[in-house]
Amino acid sequence: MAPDPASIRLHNVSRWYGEVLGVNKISVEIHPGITGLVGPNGSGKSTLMNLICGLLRPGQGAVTVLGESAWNNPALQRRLGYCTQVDHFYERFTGLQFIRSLLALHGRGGQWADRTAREALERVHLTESRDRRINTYSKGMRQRVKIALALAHQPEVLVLDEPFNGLDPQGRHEMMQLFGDYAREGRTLLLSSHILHEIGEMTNRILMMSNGYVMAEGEVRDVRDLLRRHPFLVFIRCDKPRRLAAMMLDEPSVSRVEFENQNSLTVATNDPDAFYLRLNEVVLRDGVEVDMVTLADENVQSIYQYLAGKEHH
Amino acid sequence: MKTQQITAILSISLRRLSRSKLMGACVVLGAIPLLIACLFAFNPRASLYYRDIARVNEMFEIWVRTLFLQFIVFFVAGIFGFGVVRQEMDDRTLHYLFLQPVKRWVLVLGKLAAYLVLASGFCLASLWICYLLMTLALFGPGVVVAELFAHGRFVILIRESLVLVLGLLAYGSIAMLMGSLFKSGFYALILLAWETGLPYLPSSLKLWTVMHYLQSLLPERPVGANRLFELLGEPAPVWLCILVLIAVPSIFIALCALLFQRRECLYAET
Repeated sequence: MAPDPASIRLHNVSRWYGEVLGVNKISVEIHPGITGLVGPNGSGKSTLMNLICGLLRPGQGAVTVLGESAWNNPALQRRLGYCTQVDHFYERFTGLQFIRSLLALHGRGGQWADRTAREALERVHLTESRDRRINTYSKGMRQRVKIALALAHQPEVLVLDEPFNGLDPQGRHEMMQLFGDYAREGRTLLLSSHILHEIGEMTNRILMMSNGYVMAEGEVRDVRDLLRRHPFLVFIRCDKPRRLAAMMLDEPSVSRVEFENQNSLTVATNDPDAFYLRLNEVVLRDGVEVDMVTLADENVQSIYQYLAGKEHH
Repeated sequence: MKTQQITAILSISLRRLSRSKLMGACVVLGAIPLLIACLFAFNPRASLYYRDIARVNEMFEIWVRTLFLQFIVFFVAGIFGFGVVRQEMDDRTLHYLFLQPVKRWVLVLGKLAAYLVLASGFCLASLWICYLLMTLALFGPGVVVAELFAHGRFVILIRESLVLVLGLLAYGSIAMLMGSLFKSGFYALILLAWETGLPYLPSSLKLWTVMHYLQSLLPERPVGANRLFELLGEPAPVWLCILVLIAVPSIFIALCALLFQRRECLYAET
């Protein structure tokens, strides 16, 4: 049996917007299943996805999807679905009209377009709102319409740019299940997020991008190892920050404490679990009143900076 | 399949255009001749001066040449033609079309078809309603029916309608290319200056206006407007008019399709 071919291949792909770098010298292969594309805003994720879906022409290199060139290839669009980050629609159309009208462009007849659009909206749980105009939809519903359009024609490759934006936890859970089902059918899903945790729930395979480069490629656990070595910053607002700082510095996992103002401090820790246990103890034992505890670097931005720093040194 | 796809893009574009701000502008434009026709038809002095339907016909020919061809057709083509593609870029929805399995030239043809259906609907409805309003108010249905079907006015109106459609096609295709290239409609104003100003220049330059060939194709040369038509130059032969009026839109549609073929989805830059 022939080896499983890569669904998406990028060979030495670069794309510049004038003098601004979009992506640079990217060579990757993406296979069936779910692959996460993570990176901070402006790292080149959307540019990469636009190149894969044929909306942008590579300045250099080649992008092939299912063995065909991606740029301006209408035939390929039958096998490809793309949920962009652009939140613009035919606002005065209803959800059903919007999807049905665009599916009609497949040239497979009005009945097929209508049936397929209804099924897609059902899959994203928008059946009840399908006859409402899109300009009355919430952000989450608009996101669902985009996802429905992307997967309506059952594409072999599904590219999803920040698909969980605007979705509530229930919606995220439903979409994760839906994407999981798609992947189990042997399809290829590439989905982007700037939150590693989201991607980690769905797949082990990730591509990390920063400043137009693929910084890391591999399994989520490798990135998690990097996370362990990288200090977490925790912001705490309380009534006795100096006292709390003195107590916390006894904890081996705490490497640094900085005071933000009279009521707050930021603690750097390499072991969040141990840190939180210690914090609970201190709060209970010494009667420190804590108003707020939050991660100062909740997204993976700091990790990219960390990785970028490592690359440069 | 191509026909189905063109029909689908036509349907999307018609629905979008008919619910856009452009529609309001075109309704106003289409209503201008109707308003003038109403003022004419219901003016008690009009029936004293226009006792013969032939005089109304003469006046209507001047309307067709000036009010419709040089004004309504030109601006409706400019507004709808420019907007039919521009709308997709301004609304950031072009990628929805590019992500469908449709060749780019099919998208262009579908968009053009939508524009032509809507713009022709406006202009022709305005033309026919104006004529019927003026003549029915002054002479009653019996005379108007006889004029239309016994004296050949119906055929003349049909031919004038076709000329208007050819004008919409030519100007619309130019405006469509401009809408694909430029964000601003300023360049359409240059075309306006060219088309309205050039006929008053030497006759060798008149041949370089679309208007010259449209005017030449009109069936009747109104007696009272001789001087005007002289300003526009001697009429070109029909075969040449048809050739030019097919060639101009063909070239601009081809250029538009070529442009679309190379177009990327870069909303910020376009």
